[in-house]
Amino acid sequence: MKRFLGIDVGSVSTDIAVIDEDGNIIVGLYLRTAGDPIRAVKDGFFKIKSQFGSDLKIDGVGVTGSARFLIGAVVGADVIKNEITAHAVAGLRYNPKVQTIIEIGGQDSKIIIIRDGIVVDFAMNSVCAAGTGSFLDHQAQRLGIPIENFGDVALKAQKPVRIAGRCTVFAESDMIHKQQLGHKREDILFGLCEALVRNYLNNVGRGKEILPPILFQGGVAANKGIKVAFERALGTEIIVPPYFSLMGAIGAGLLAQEANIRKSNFKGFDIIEQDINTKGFECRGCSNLCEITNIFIEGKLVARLGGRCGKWEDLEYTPPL
Amino acid sequence: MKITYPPFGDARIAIESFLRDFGHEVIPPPPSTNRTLSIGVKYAPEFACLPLKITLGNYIEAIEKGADTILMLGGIGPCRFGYYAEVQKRILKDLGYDVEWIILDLSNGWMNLFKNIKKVVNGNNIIKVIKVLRLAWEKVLAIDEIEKIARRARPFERYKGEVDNIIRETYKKLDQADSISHVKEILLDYRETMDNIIDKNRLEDLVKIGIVGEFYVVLDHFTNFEIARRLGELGVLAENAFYIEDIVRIYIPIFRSKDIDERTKVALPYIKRSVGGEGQRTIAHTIEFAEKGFDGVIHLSPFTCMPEIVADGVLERVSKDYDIPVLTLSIDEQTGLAGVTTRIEAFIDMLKTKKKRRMAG
Repeated sequence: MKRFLGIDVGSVSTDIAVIDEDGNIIVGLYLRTAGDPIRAVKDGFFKIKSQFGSDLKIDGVGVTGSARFLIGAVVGADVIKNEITAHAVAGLRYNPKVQTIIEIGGQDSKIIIIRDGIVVDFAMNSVCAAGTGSFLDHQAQRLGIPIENFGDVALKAQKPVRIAGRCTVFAESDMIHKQQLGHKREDILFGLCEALVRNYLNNVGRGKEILPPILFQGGVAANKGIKVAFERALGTEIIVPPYFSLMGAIGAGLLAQEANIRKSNFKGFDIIEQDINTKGFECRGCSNLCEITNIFIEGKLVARLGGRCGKWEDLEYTPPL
Repeated sequence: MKITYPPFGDARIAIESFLRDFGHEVIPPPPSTNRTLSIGVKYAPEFACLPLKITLGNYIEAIEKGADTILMLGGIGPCRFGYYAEVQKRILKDLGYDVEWIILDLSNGWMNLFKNIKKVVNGNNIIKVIKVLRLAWEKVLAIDEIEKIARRARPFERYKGEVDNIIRETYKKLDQADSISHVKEILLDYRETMDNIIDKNRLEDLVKIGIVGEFYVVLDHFTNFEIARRLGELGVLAENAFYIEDIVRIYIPIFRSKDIDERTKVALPYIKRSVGGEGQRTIAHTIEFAEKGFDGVIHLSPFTCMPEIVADGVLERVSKDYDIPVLTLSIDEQTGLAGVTTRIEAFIDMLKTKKKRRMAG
């Protein structure tokens, strides 16, 4: 049976999934990117290797997420796709009837509208963090609650407090104000969930027809408080798929499968033992001043990213001095 | 007098052409880079629109190269653009730059405009003036033609950057062209080269995207992250709602043509009167693309641009009524390239799937 590797390298988390051709998940890893996507992917590969040894054969690799071009070059991806398409593909595989996908990650949030099995509209948050995981992370820290317990505590709320959620900065000062007034912690937490949902629906979901079935994907879907707040705001059931946090990676794997690759470019899990380095420089060939990134594996140049004209794609190319 | 001007897109070639032919020493602003933007952002008011910031950076970089005179348009409207010259003039003065401004506008009376035009014309007689302007106009038309053909060729490039390399060479020649027949020759050559790249049989199968919005961000490649090139490389046929010729016809009274208002009429059920800038036209152009059977529209809007904000509010309804997907990209110095790339790619994936399904019946 064929196996496909999907990697979703986001700002906050790096997710890795290995699926078989029936879509069963063989490996599912959720790791922190912590500002070093190559390190995170190596950590993930290390875990896979220690579980399966070197003989886990991979027939195709898909990479998505904000570091998709870098990681795609490092691991030897067959397919490099944006997160929106990846999430839609994974959501559709899980529930072919899905009409709306809500995806909330660390740094951005998306809505994907699907009709008759194809994406017809989507939106992403812009220039604002108020509707994202970082917002919750930050506030949970302030309240001294581990983010993992956030949802459970929030669900105990009896009288949720209304918190101004337009902007994280205002939300924070409003939250402190409510604390000083003596409101209970759980009521404030659920208030934050409602604020995030309100914000999401007003910004990302603005003007979109949100019809069920609705899937809730991304790391924030772990938070039961948000799920309930969405259900109350929309008056309908929200489905959280079992692998909600891995949907991007699963989608990338599915895209690799769909691409029907004869021979994968995958460099193998052994790259963890190799020395992978990147070095950037500014090309002064023209006024574009492209920032080129050289990627070295074991000191050997394997890829160049960032050029607009294509001359750097030829690895033999060296600039005239 | 060492004169410079506000560049946008490839219009620079035509502007330089007539200034040089009038006998001015022209100091062209160096091509916009991130440095240009940083300078503009540093000295312009935070909430000014992006074109003001970038052109301010362009002026300062030109001054560093020795320019002492700036040629600019001004006046009342069509939006905040009318104030650009005055605001930029004061900013440069506060920064201690000693430059002369030639602001062509009507708000200070005909006499004032006439005086400034005289400065530009630089003592040339009327016959020469007409000749110079005709050549510059021919160059405008050529630049637009080059751009339009490039949009059709990029999806078929044999290697990345092929089309842009050819354009670069063509522009070098166009810049030197000193007669209309020479311009036509260059264009003929270019057309032939491109014809070899364009696969006419596959042209109809491409996903087609129309680009609408505020004129500066639509036409300036640096400002719009070279959206035309990106779309082309992703195998999409991207057409603009307007090119440089149209902008000249809209904003420079002596070139104004009646077609402009005629073209805007389809927007009337949505926006009854001009809301400044391209606001109303953005709606009209979106409808136009929908009726031409385009698969989608990308709307480019400089952050804080009032007319485009109005258009953005209405576009949702237009998109539903005409069943055409619209992606609005709000552009300012904070806009991250990663976010733009992701949105554009996802938008194209969506249009491609839709098209495939439609063609399968």
